Amino acid sequence: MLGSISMIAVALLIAVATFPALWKAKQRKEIVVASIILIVAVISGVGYLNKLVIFNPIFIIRSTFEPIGRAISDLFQA
Amino acid sequence: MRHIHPRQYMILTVLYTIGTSLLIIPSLLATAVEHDAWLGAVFTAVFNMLYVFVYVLLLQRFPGLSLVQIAEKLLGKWLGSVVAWLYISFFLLLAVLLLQFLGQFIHTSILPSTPVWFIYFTFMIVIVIGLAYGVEAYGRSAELFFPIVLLFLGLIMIALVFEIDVSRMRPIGERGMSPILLSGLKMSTFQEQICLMMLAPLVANKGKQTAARALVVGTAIGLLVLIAITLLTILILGSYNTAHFVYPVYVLVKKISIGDFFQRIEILMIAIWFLTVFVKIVVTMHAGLIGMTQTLNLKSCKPLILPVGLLIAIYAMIVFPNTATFFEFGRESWFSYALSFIFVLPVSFLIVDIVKRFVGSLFKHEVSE
Repeated sequence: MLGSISMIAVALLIAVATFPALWKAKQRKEIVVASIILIVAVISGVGYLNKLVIFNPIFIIRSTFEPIGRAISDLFQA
Repeated sequence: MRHIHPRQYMILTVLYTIGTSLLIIPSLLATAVEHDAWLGAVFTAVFNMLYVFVYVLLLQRFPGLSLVQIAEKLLGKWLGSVVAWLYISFFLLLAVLLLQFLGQFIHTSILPSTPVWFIYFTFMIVIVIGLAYGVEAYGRSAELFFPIVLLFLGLIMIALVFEIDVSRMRPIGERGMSPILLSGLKMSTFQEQICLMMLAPLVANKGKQTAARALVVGTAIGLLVLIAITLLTILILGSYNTAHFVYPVYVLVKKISIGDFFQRIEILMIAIWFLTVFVKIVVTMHAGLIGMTQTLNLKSCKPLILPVGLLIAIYAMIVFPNTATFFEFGRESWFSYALSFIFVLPVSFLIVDIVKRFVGSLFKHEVSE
């Protein structure tokens, strides 16, 4: 619980530190992109702290590329 | 736009190539081919130079463009964007893996009581500061670090010369060339110089000193260091110990003891490694940020530095629960995944460009007739 709150607090600090300057400089696109990344980071972090992995790219990479790697190794060993 | 000198780019390349390879390549090679690990390192270097040759051709054909810009120019808006985002995900995932590896090493070898998340976040703060100051700042930092890294590495190599036993590398090529070639190919995917292509447009070419030349020279120097270190671990520790220690170079440096006063200098190895890994993570993360900026047509990548830094630090905790799964991923899956990005895609770009230019010249010829 404390970890989740800390994660959200850090994200809010980042938002407070960066967004006003971006708004003043009319960098709206940058605000949107940075916000999306922050939200993804916070959701992933809160999920991890509650022992729930929402998205781990390693699973996709392993299922896609491990068979290819094995095929190449078999080719060399043949 | 900020620029760096080709010499700084070369130094970044050397430190980037050494990166994490210094600590893990000898162990992985010795596991695969035992006492022929040094030959495996030689083939690693050969394959790496082949990849860099492809990058140089792309840099010469598309001067001033980064990798994602080349992808979009060659493949069109939609397919180019897909490939660009695949590259961006590769760079960011690589940054996560590097940070994770660094954190695990520090946690297991130096600070076992310190929570590993604290190490990730502390290191990420330094990286974010480096990125916020820009490529000129961390390029100059690398220039400052470089003589120190060379000095420490030279000291370590000289101190270890007396421990060498040449019989440990015999018989050479006992199992044939095939396993050595395969291990060299697999290890060549751990240097990832492709990230440096994203920084190539930031290099202010000066006459013969170009980004392409700096990339080649820097890679060659970094790979020579790798071969030398691998050779030393085999000649001193032997293939069995090199394969069974997780960080054999660290163990190797612990053996140094001259006159009972010049000893316990493994901290020098850790210092070198901190510097090289810092450069590697900064460059990799910067490559990802540049990719996002160019693909999304943003004015600058600075607003994204903190959020992306937070995302990478959090994912460093998520991706692997422990070192064993990390090494298993490195052994089984990383090779084919990384090879797609560091060789297959760049060669595809080259082929598409050659075909496009050939067809274009044919068409021009027909029109002029």
